[in-house]
Amino acid sequence: MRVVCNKEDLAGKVALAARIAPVRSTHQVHEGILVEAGGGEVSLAATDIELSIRTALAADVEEEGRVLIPARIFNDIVRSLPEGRIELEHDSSAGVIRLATRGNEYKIRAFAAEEFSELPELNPERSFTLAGNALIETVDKVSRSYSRDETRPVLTGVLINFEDSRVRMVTTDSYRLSIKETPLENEFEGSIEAIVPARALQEVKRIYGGSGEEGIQVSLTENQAVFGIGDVVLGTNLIAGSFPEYRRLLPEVFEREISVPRRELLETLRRVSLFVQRQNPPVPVSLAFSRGELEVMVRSQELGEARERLSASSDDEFTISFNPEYLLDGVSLVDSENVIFKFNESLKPGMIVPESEDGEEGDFLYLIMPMRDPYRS
Amino acid sequence: MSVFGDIVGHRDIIRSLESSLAGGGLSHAYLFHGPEGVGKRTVARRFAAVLVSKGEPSRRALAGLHPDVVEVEPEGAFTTIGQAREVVRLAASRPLEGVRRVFILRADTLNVQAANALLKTLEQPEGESVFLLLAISRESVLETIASRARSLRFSPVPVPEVEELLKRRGVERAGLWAALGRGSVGLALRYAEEPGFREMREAVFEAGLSFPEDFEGLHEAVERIAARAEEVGAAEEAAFLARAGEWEESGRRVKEGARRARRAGRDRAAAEALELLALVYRDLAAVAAGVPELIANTDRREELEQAVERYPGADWAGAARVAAECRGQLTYNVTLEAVLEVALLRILRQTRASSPAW
Repeated sequence: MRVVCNKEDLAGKVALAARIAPVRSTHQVHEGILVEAGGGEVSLAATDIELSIRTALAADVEEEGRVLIPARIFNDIVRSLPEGRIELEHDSSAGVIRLATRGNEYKIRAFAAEEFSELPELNPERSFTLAGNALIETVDKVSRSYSRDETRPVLTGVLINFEDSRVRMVTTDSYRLSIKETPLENEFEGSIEAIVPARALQEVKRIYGGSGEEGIQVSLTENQAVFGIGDVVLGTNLIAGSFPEYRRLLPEVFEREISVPRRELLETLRRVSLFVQRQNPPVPVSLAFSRGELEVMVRSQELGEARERLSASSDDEFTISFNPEYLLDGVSLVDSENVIFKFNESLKPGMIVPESEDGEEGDFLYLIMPMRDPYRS
Repeated sequence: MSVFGDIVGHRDIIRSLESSLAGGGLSHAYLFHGPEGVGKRTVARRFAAVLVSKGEPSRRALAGLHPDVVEVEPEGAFTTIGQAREVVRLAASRPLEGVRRVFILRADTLNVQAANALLKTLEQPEGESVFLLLAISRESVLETIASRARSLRFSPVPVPEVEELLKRRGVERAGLWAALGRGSVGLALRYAEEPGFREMREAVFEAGLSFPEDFEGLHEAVERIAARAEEVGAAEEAAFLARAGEWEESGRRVKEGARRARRAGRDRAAAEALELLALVYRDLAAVAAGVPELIANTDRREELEQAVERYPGADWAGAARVAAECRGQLTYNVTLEAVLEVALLRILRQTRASSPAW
């Protein structure tokens, strides 16, 4: 293999692939980036057997070929070489790839690529293109409440559903639940549903953010979701298993609906949380409502206590406590001027939604389990 | 030809695996248990290759390089909870290329925490993952794990079948190496292919038959065996480095792995040295009992016969028992030298006491 291409372009693409290639893998071949030259371009591929990435850039291909290059060192060298043209030449008898720019020459060990896995492809006939910002906005709204605990893998994923002309995403870590629906211009036949690893969607967001593209191509098969963003194709294995029946968790009616100014509440919560950062078990933050007023309280046995008062649309006395971090997440995800809290009893889940202008159902909700307040019970 | 076509022995097991492949009835978990070196991992790899493949397994799958086959090697003596969690996570992830994921684990290296982390997944994997668990014996596996898997017992392979295999591979003196393998294809191959192992056998033979007159002579014989075991370890380390050294970026990990390979190689050689010693005495007992056709060290028949003649009435079977007993002490981290010295001293006394020639 022998190619010449622009160093900056190559460095950007190698960096994308190197993020996916694992530092250590049970299949050592995957610690490398597969580099293929042919048809006027150089394509790169990497996988950690869950996520996979392919990307390509234009190049002068003087000799076609296929080689596997250890990811970390390849990325580090290409990134730090001076700008301009870079030459890649594979010497298969010596087992090295030569990287050369003006006056610089690096040789890295390179390997035969026969054992590399077949990566999922974007099937153009079974894929659809979405407005990228709508997809990413939806991902952002549900990204706080997926589980980081890998003992229940299904909760580390995002339930994605395409139906009619909207996308819905759901995540839950069993302490809170986020649901976000976003309208799309597409029209879907039937319902398409999958559990996609949250990590994969974060990667899609990163790639989209740096791409300058508008659309994201999506194709879903039984085992894989594949996202096409410009010349990058990101594949991910889907998570097997069944997602919790989240609709059953949503109370049908709420006894109370209280509106609180969002900005003030957010500032208050950030301040009072200073008392409870990194405490385990978490110290609850209590919301004590009375007519027209909300008192936010935190008591830490070790450090002291905090109280703040805010205005609220409440009309009876009611107190409920939450994990401060989870409450902050919910309030910060709402983007209307006021936050609407919906409550039943103190030990039943509460709901946080944005204020709607016309009284219609909003397209985002955040359900949160209360904590028992040790100072009250 | 079936992918199991060239596997030596284990006909019943292969038949049972093939029929579950053909007629459905696949289990989520299989426990392959049996002595070291009889072919559990080889069968597991072939079975895994078929399990993940859509049609005929590819050469890559058979070579153990399919991305949906994950072999988990214990980190040191144990498969850790971290490794178990990674398995749980991967097991819930749909396969990359194939139809399902397959995990090959050493079940007898799972500690309680790691085993507990795996239980739920083993019983009811979210995806269609299949677990192939390997162990020295069913008893060496925690009951909670063993009871969730379909157990298949791997017996030692009949010596003539091992001999056949060695002959097919063009190995000379196949009969001798097969007999020394004592039912283990792996061990027979090591005798056939590794000079280090053969040299160690020479040293053991010498020590076992020399009956040194003084402690110094005994000490020397012991030192020679220990040195051979060290060499076997060094050869393992070199082989590990040759396999892994290519990826220079993982330097520290390679070094750590090489150190482990060396220690494991040395320990295995030490255990084998004591088993060989027991085998020498077992052969002597066979000769003394008038059934020399049963000996394993077929190339040393003459020497064995001379020894029996020289020490009539010696308790060879007792000596073999002593050697086998001492083999167990290695697991308590006693050095090979110490164990060998004690073993040879006790054997010396035993053979001397009952022998009128002394």
